[in-house]
Amino acid sequence: MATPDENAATTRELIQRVLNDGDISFAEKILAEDYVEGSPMPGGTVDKAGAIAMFTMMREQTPDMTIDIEDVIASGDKVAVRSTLRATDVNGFMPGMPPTGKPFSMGAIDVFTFDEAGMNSEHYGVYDIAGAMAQLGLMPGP
Amino acid sequence: MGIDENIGVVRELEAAYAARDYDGVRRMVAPGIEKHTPGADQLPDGVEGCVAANEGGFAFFPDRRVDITDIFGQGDRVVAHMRMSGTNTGAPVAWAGLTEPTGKAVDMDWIQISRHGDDGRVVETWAQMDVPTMLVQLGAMPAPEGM
Repeated sequence: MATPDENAATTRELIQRVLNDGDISFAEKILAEDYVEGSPMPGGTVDKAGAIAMFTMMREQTPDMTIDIEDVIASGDKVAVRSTLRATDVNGFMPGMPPTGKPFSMGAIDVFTFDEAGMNSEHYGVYDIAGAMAQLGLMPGP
Repeated sequence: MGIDENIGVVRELEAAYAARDYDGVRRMVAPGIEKHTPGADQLPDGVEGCVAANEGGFAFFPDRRVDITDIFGQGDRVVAHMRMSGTNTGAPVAWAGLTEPTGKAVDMDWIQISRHGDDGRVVETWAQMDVPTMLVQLGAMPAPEGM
């Protein structure tokens, strides 16, 4: 059984290698075959292939993206991460909307679940998409 | 307080919000709570901002119901995944550009992290809400491609 500390370390490595460095092969390795995505992108599938497609798309939309981790909370088989994504909207961050070329930042909270072998078996997250859209001029602020 | 007690405070606090029991809310939330949720700068400072946000929710969605779908924590922080459902039969959601109540049902989620003092009271919160889903459900924003 992977410990909460081990799961937290895996989560940090997943964010660093896959999203910050663009090493999609680490996601292939660390996502369980029966992975379930609780927050799929619009039109995306909820399985491992859908998650890999989402990581790939994020790196294509915003190649300079960096995620700064601000807090990690691990208990049992769960790891929560509070973070901020910073990027330039180079290739169209919002599906169906034209790229703006503008920089933006977006707050995020994610929850990852790990199986007994320490593989990432589930994920859900909520993101300040409304705030990011407001920064890009794609939506009026509240 | 241990993590189980802090988790208990979050559950009891949600029950107080649901019952609009603001004496209870003021007992479980520190007066000077720091709120980092997007939009919190539009609210009164401290616990009175939490009261105002809850009353705002009931004004838009009088049948508002919040369920905790996941909860865990470590040390002084508790993570809670919440799901809110309700019908916009009350006030129009003016900040979304709506001028009339839509009568539409919404079902959206948020994740909240709360930090607790030694006495268990909530002293700091961070939350992210799925605002776009709610705006699409209200008809205030077009659905993204593929939805």
